[in-house]
Amino acid sequence: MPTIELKIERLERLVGKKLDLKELEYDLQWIGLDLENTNVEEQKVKVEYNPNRPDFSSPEGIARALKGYYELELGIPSYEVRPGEITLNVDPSVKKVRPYIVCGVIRDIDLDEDEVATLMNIQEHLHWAVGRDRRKVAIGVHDLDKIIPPYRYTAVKPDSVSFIPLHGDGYPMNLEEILLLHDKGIEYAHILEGKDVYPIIFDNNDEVLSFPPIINGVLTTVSDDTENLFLDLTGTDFKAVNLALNILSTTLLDMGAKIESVKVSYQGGKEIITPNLNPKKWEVKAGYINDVIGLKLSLTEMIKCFQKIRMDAKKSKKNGYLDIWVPAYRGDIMHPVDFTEECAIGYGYFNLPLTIREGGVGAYHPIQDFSSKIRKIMIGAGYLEILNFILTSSEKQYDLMKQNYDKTNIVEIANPISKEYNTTRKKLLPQLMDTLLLNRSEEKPIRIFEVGDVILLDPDEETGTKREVHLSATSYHDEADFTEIRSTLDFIMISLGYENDFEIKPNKNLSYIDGRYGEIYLKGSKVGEIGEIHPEVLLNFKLEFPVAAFELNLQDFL
Amino acid sequence: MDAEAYDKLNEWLEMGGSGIFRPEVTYPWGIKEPTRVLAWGQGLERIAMLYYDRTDIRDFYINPIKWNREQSYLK
Repeated sequence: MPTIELKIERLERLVGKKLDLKELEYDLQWIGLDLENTNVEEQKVKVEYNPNRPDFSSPEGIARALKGYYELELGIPSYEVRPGEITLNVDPSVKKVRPYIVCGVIRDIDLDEDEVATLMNIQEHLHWAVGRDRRKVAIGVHDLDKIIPPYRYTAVKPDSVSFIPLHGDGYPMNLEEILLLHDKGIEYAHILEGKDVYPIIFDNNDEVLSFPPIINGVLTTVSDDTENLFLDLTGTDFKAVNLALNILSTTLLDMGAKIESVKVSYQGGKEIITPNLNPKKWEVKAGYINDVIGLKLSLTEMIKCFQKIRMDAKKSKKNGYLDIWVPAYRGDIMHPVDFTEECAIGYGYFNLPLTIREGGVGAYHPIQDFSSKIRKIMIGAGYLEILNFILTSSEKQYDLMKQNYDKTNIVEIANPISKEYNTTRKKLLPQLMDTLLLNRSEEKPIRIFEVGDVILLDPDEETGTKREVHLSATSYHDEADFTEIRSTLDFIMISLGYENDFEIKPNKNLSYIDGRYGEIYLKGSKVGEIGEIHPEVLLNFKLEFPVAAFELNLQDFL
Repeated sequence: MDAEAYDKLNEWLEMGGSGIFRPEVTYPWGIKEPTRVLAWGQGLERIAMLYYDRTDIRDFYINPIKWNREQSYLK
C-alpha cells in the first residue's frame, strides 16, 4: 500500500487551520487514511492511502479532504482551466503501440523545495497506482519554453530517430540503442516488446520532447529557472491518462500555478481539450444510500454529507433522487454503491449508531464441527496439535517421502516466490515429518497431529481442484511402532462409534516399511493409510528414531 | 472499515477489517439487491504476539514444540 509523509506545519498552511497532532491522528483516519506512525519530535505523520484514491498521493490532495471534514470548505473545489493556444497533433500510427495522449500547460510555477519533492513523489505514485508501472500511463514533465508548438505525437521505426536522452552520457542515441543501453530503457523495454514502431513526441522543429514511456530528451529538462511546464501523459487507457492528468493538474493548481488547456487533435479522429476538470454528474436514489448505511437521512442532511467529502449535490428533478457531481480527480466512483461509502464518510463513521442486529444466527459447517470433535479426541489421546501451510514444496511432499510424481499431475504454482512453496499439499504427513525435523531435539516421545486442508486435482471442478479435510498423526520416539499407532487409530474409531465398521488391509507404500503398512477402510471404502515410516524417509528428514503415522480423509466420515 | 487498537507501544495496531461486499461481487453467487453480505475478519497473530509477549510473528508458524509444551492455558 502506498504511503506518504505529511509535515504538520505544511498541512496547517494548506488547510488553513491550527492542527493538534493527537486529534489529527483521528481525523486522518476518519477521512479514510490509515495511520502508519507519528513523529512528535519532527511534527510529521506517515499515512497509508488506498490505491483507489491516488488523489491522496500529495499533501495538497489530503488537505482538500480535510478542509471538507473540518467544514472549512464544502463542495467541489473550483478549479480554473484557462483556454490555451497550444495544439498537439496525434498521428494514427500510435494506435498500434500507445494509442492515447493528453496534455496540459502549467504557467507561472514558483515551487519551494517541499513542493518540488511532492511533484516528484506524486509522479512516482501515479506511475505505480494508476499507470501500472508506466504500462498503462506514463507522465512526462517538460520546460515549455524550450520547445516550439504545435507538437506531434507519432510512432517511428526504432532506428530512424536519435536524440540526447535525459540521464544518459550526453550523446544522441536512437530509440533501439536507448532500450539496449540506457538505464531507463533497460528497465522499461518490456513495455515496448514486440512492437515494430515506438512512440515519440516531437516539437515543430522535429526536436524530441520524449520517448514515452521510457525517457524524456535533455532539451526540455526542468530546472530552477523553469517558469512554465508542458505535461504529456501517454498510455493504453483513455480514462487512466485523464485521471492522472487531472490529479497532477489539480495538485499544481493547489500549489498556486495556473493551468492552460491543450488542444489534442487525433488525426482522422476527434479533437479534445485537456485537462478537462469538469465534474461528472450522477443521479442516485437517496433511499438506496440510507438503506445501505442503515440511516434515515433527509435529502438536505445527505447533501451536507456529500459536500463534506468535496462533492456537490442537490435534489434531483426525480423525486427522492440526488444529483451528485464527482470531482475530476476522483477515479474510484464506478457504481451507485460507491456513494453510500462517501455519504457515510461525510456523516462520520464515529456518528453511526451502534445497534444489535437480530437474527442471522450462524452455524458451523458439518466438516468444521466434525474436525473440532476429532481435535478433541486427538488431544485426549495425548497428541499436540500443530498447524502448517497448505503451500509446500514438491521436494518435501514427494521426493523426501520416496513418492514418485508426475509434474503434469500435481498443482504447481506458476510463479513461486521460493522453491519452499511451489505446490499445494496432497497429504499432511510430509509436513508433520518436517515439524518433527525442526523439533527433533525436544523431549521424546513427540506425538503431534494436524487437521487441515489438502488440495487434490479434480477435472470435474470449475477450478480443476478440490479441497478435502485430512487428519494426520505421528508418534516419534525410540519405541514408536505399528502397535502404538494402531491403538491410537482404534481409540479414534471407538470414540466415533465406528469400531466395528473399519478394517486395515495390508498393502505396500514407498514411504512406509513393507509389512508394517496398511490401508484403512471404513464400511468398505478406503479412507486412509497407517504404518511405520521407511528408514530412508527418516534419514531424509534427519530423524534418528522410528516414526509411526497415519493419515485419514475426514470427508469420508460425514 | 478497519478495526484498530492502541497497543502497548503506543502505536495503532490493525486488528481486523470489515465491510459490505460490493453488489458486483455477490451477484455471480446469486445474491442480488436488496440482499447484502456483511463481512468481518480478524487476524489473531498480532493479538497472540501481545498476549504471549512474542516479538517475532514467525514464531507462530514454525510449531515450536518446546514453547508449546511450556505454555499455560491459564496465563
